[in-house]
Amino acid sequence: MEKLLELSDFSLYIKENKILDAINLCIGRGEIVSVVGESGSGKTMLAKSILNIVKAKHIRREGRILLEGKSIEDLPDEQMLKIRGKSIGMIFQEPLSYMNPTMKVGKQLTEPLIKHCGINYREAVEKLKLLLDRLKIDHLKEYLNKYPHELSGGMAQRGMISSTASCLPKIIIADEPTSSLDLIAQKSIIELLKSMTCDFGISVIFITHDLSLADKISERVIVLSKGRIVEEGKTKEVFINPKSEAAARLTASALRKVGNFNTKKTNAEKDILIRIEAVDKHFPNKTSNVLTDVSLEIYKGETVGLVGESGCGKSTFARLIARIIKPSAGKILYRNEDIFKSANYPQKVQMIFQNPFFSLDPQMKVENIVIEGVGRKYLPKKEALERVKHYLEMVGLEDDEISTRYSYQLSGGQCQRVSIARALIMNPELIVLDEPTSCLDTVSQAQILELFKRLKAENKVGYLFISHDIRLLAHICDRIAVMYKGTIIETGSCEDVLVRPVHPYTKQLISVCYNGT
Amino acid sequence: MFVSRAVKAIVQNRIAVTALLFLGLVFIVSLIYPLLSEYNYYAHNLDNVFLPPFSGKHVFGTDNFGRDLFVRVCEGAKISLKIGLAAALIQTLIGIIYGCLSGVYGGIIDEIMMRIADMFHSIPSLIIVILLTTFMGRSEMTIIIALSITDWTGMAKIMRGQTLLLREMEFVQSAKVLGVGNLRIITKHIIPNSMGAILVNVMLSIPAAIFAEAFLSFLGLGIEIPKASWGTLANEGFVYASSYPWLVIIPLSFIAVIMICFYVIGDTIKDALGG
Amino acid sequence: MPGELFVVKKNVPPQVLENITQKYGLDRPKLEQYFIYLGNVVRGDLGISMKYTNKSVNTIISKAFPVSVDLGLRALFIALSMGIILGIIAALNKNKPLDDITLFISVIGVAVPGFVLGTLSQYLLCYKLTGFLSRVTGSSFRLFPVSGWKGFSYTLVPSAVLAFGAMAIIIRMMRSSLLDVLELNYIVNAKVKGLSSREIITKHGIKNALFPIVSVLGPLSVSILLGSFAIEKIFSIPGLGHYLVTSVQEKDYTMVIGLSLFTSLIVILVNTITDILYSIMDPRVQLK
Repeated sequence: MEKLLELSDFSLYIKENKILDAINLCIGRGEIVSVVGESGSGKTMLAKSILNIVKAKHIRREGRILLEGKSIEDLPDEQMLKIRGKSIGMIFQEPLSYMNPTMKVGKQLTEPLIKHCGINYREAVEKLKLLLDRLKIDHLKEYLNKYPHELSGGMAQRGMISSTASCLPKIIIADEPTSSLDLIAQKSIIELLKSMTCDFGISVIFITHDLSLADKISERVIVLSKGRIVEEGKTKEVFINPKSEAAARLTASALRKVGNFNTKKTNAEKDILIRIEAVDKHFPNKTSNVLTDVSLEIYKGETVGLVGESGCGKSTFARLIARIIKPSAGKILYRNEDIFKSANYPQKVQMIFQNPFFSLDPQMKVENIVIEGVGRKYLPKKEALERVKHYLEMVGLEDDEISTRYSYQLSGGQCQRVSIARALIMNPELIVLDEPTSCLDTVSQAQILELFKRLKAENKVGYLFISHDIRLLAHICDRIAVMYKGTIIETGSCEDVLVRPVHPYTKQLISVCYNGT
Repeated sequence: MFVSRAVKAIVQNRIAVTALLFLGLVFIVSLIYPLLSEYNYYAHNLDNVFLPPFSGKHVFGTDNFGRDLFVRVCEGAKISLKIGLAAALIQTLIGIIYGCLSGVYGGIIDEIMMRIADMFHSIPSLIIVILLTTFMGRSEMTIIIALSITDWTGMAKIMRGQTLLLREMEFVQSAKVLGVGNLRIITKHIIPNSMGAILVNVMLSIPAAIFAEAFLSFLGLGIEIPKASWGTLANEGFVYASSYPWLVIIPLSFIAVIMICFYVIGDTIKDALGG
Repeated sequence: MPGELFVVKKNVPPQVLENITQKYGLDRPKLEQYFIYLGNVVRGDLGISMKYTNKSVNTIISKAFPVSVDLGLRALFIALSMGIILGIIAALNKNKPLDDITLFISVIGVAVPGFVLGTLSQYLLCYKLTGFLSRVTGSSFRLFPVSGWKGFSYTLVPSAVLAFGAMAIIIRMMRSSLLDVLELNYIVNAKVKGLSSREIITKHGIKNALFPIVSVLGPLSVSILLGSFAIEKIFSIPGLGHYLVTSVQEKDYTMVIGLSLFTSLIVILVNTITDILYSIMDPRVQLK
């Protein structure tokens, strides 16, 4: 294959720290190559280095970058301008922040064409339209007349890709272009990139942390770890048989098989603890309902999982049950009493939030955080401290020192444990958990999940466990409810939902979570 | 936490330290000046009018009635600083309470309270102060009150913004879930976490209050004779600017330098706490 | 109401007294007088000045308002144009000498009150410098006249001094705003598209950096308006501020209230205009 781009022993130093170490790679014409690595491995730095747009003090570059055989690593800026956008294009992760918010979409998207091909606005729009038509964007004229904030993430990204491809660059570097999009949009972006290669012969460097995604789009993969290339080869082979440690970690996080789910008999009792009846929720500044006609029953002691994509209304639902917001219609009952009229509700239902650091007041010591709900009015100091200690031990924080620390002195996992202690000290019957592990690293995630299982067994407390990842819920829940666009579309036991899903969205969700397709 | 960071930032900045020392100096001298000078601020001495600075024991010279300017400036310092500090503190207090309540209750109450604040904000405070002092008289107390009830909207909006922001933070929401009442949420969570913004605002509203009083007095609408703030002194001296410039330049310089000092300290704190 | 109208010792002919009493209903109960007054205000009649017989507050306003507007607009123009340009220069030369000089100027402008600068400028530029130049050149032409408002050269120092405070604020805002904007993602994207630094700054940077300034345009104009009170006093310029100050000192209550009302109305108008301006410029904002 003809070598289009070649990096030869390329290294990047920032303040004498080696960010990229002796990178050797080549991209052929019409080829799609994935560059995978964990966050911090240097993928984005590599992309930015090719275009020489790394912004930092004390930069030093070594080695060579050859584009079609010609050196470009030490070209002065005026000459790099001719390469950027024209020969090598780049698209980014989150399209909306990469667009000028006060400039119309049409004007921005035609900028590369106008700059590099010397045509005027009208001609540029015509050329762009040809590309945009393929994307099935309706009402092109309106689309171009809008401002970025009026577009959805998917629409914006498709526009960005068309714009970048419109000058027919030889290479497009795509830096995690689908991470911030929902599953449906992700799929269309991948198709689009593939068609760019097929129809126009544009090579693509696809940067991602998700090996399964890389598998769908490219034949060849390069694995990056700590600024060094640690493995390279055919995507399928690396996937099935990773040789390096980094690749093995990436493979493990991508592979999950259906089948690991909770089959233990539920220890739920027969009486209904919380009943949500036909609840609607409408926010004043949004046009449509966030929640529509939602109904669910939660039994005492059971663990119910609520799964759905980001934006489907799960968090709003959680906040309703925790009495943080009120429903616009419908009722929420605790043992047949409206929760908003119920006294001592905090002693019955508690909540754990997603972001462990934001869950704790940065001005308060851990011991004061944990005791906050109980209040210190009638409690002598000694007894209060003892109680705090008891619950901290219960969540695995046995160290005496921890109670006098502040949140910024703790790790994410420790912060989340403090939140749990704060909730448990109220002796609730139900704890609502809103994505409690999403902000934690994989090791802490596993630990917290173990903690939940143990607490469930010891305290007979029930959980409403909310997540976007059905694989997580499969391990810990008795029942699962699936939420889509503000309504619950399916409920059932773990096994029923995972193995015999009824609703098409459920099927798609499972397919995406487990196989990435 | 905020206070210690602010103090640290000041201590590390030489200009800020100089400003602080100068402020301290002015404050102390204004209190102990009887030990330094034998003159008082009201005695007329018509044999010694219009003496330029450094004439004998008159460090700053004398004015049209032969009164020692240094002593008058010291008395002026007491008045200007007193009014400035008092007004700044009171308006900050009003602003904090108003902003927190508005933000915590939200909904209709918030809307109404903000409309009222907007009304206060859109009418220039100086106009209201002029009106109030015209009808209420021009004592120190009325000026302090007038300044306090007109310039609190800045702090109120900041506190409301902070409250709305913090209200959505998980630790405040979990306080609600734990059953903590609104008042405790304000005092235990919102105000402590807003100390940065509060400190910055206080430090920057002091020179604003000093300016407002000086401005009024300079126009002749503020503190009246025989008591004189720096602004009043400047107003009196302005008439003689062409022949005896020190009478207006010295009070003006003090106003300017004190305000620069407060701004420098306020800016340092603002940079340290991220505004 | 400040209805002790005739406490002011002026010789008012009985017939005029009769007319005024009739027109303004001064023989009616106090509360009714108040409503009559409000009614008149809405109709634009702010009453007769208590000091200057035969001159209504409205005539005073119509004479003084254009002068104040003239002074204010000149100052606003200077503040905006110089402020934005210097702010851009400071941002593009960050941490170089040009930046430090500009920041130093702005610190002075922010911290030192307008009337202090005004008096000093008058003393140094108008009195000393102009006098010196006159003596040296032997002509009677005064470069910067000390007071009055009778021609172009009279407007120079007052407008410049009035503009200084606002200009300083704009310099700081423009500088930090532009620096913030240049860190944003869409600027990186523009670079990646192959635009030159100049194109990036002019096409994407400056417009977005101007927003914070437009948003404070209202309060800025108000501060210029209020600052003009002191400038008018220092330079004896016959504007609204001048009349307001004298009317307070002379306890001319109808004047005070009339002028205050008018000034407040102007302020509200300016704020509304700037709000509308902001929403036109920023597509993300909608006026409720």
